[in-house]
Amino acid sequence: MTTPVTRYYEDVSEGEQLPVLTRTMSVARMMIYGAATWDFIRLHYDEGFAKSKGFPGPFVDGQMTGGHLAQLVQDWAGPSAFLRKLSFRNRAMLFPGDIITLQGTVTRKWIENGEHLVECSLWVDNQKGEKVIQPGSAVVRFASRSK
Amino acid sequence: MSDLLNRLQASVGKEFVFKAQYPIGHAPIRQYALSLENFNPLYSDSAFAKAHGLRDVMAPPTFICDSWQYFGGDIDERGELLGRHELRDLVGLRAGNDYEFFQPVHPDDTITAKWRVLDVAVKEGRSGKTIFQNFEVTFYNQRDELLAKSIEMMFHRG
Repeated sequence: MTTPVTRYYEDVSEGEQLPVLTRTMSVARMMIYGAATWDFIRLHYDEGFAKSKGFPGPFVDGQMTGGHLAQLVQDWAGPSAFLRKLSFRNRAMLFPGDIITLQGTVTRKWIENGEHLVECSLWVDNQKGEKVIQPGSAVVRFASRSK
Repeated sequence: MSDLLNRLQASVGKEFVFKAQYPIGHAPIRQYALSLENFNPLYSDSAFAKAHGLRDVMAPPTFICDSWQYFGGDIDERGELLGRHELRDLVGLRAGNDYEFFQPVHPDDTITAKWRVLDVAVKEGRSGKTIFQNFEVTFYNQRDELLAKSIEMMFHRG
């Protein structure tokens, strides 16, 4: 990625679209995620086990998409911004080979208790146009040029 | 399903505390970022992180809420961590999460996680019964500073 640069509260506009983030699900990334999070449940990497439990195959841990949403927001907001809140509801399962598109838009900006805050609406679709995450939202604290 | 439901309902209000024996470390943060294809230098470049007001690299925000790194124990034949009590009695799917983050998490943080069963509910639909189980998880560092809070929402179709 290009070196991130600081974005200020004053640079953000309501209605602004976040740059779209696209990710392809893979067993390798799912395996790394499982190891990093100490989630060794076989449903996420063992095809035979997943099928024995009634699933079409190994599926992506739903929290992994939350990690991608945080990435969408942090990459846009820049390295001086701090993600204060992230909320999402999973609507569809993801499997290896699925391609997700993560999007967001700025819905509100305000100052509260000295914090310069921005709220974003977030959503995720798969390659079939199905909603994977909806609704989703984030609140981000930005640096201000006035401070 | 009624036995499972009875056990889950009896767990409402219970709290389970897990304390890590060692700090997070740099490598797990890099590994988590790699899994997400996330190459933001905030998570890997100490000089870059310090130039942006941090004491070292930080963890991607959701790392602390996703990782069971603080847990000490074996796994069972399903790959489930043993000894998580009623927290994983329901092997369900994720309905969603509400996270709140209070300060950046760093490699030298040693985590204590406090899991509390918030509520259990059953809904009946055309496809049968679905059990919902919600948790509140709070994460602290070695100075007992609140780092993050997560509401975890899981469900299981019987």
